[in-house]
Amino acid sequence: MKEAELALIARLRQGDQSAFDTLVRQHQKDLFRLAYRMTQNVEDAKDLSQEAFLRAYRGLGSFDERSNLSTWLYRITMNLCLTHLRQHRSSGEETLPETYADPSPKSLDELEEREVQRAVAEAVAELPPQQRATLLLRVHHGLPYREIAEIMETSEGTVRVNYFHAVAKLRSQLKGSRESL
Amino acid sequence: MGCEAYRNTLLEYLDGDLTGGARAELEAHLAHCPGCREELQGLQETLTFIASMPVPEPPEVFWQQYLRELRQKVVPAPRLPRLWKWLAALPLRPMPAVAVGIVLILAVFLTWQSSPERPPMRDLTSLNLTQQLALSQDLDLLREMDLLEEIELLEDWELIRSRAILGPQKAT
Repeated sequence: MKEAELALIARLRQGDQSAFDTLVRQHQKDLFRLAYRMTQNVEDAKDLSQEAFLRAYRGLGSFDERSNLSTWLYRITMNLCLTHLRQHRSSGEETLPETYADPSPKSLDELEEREVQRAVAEAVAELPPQQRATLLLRVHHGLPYREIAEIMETSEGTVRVNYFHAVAKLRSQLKGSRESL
Repeated sequence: MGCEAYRNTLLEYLDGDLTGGARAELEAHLAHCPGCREELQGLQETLTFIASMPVPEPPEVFWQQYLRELRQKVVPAPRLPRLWKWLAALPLRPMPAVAVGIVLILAVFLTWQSSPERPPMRDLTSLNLTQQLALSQDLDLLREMDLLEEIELLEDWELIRSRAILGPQKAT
């Protein structure tokens, strides 16, 4: 762990309010993006990432300083997201992916690309949560398998298998949606 | 090795995890197998699409509000005993200081009022409107003090309750 992170943790443990602000500012975008990609909903992403900061702050006592601070924050966020998705699935609520594309496509190619993008978003949303989590941590956050395994609290082998299955499923869906256009 | 076996290594190849002889063998296979080359291209395309999935970029004002909300929710780690904290902050809190002053004045007044040698007390109705208003404001202030005390007690209760529900804090 870097010296700056250790100093920040020490200040947080002393109840330093400005250290909490620093922690939030440093990691807010990453945690929000991760939660958004998992839930595909802005409000949920905001609530879940905020909750992750609160849990991290309250759970500082259990933080192992040999770990990476961002890995720990990702793990808290991911666990919250997985619990959230489980609760939504069991209550029968389905959230449609929000799309942030330009509302007026300028060409046929753009329209086609948007359709494929929508198909990918839907396919990602349909992946089992563990596979979705692995895929997003690998592709969007560029994390190595070892760190993903630490976040997901599983083995590196399981992470590789989940990643392989997720990409294969999306590849097949993408092929299907391309052919139907 | 057949195409199926080679295709199972394509992701590792794209990740840069396939090294040495295995990498050279796959590249040799790709050079003369259009089916596996197409599969490789498809995987590359899929990963590009996943990576390009849009994510909202909230404006700065969103993050300011985000931090403000968090500050309100966060519980300061070490808490001083309430009475000590209140007393320590007394010089910085003019309202309670004024209220304490009023309480002392009232105490002196009531002691004086109960004394047998007291001069005849003025009827309250004889006070003018300004004096009545000042008195009622003092009473309101005292009521607010009681209310603040109750709010602090409720906050403490909420804190104890949330800690009891969450149990020992552990990285989740």
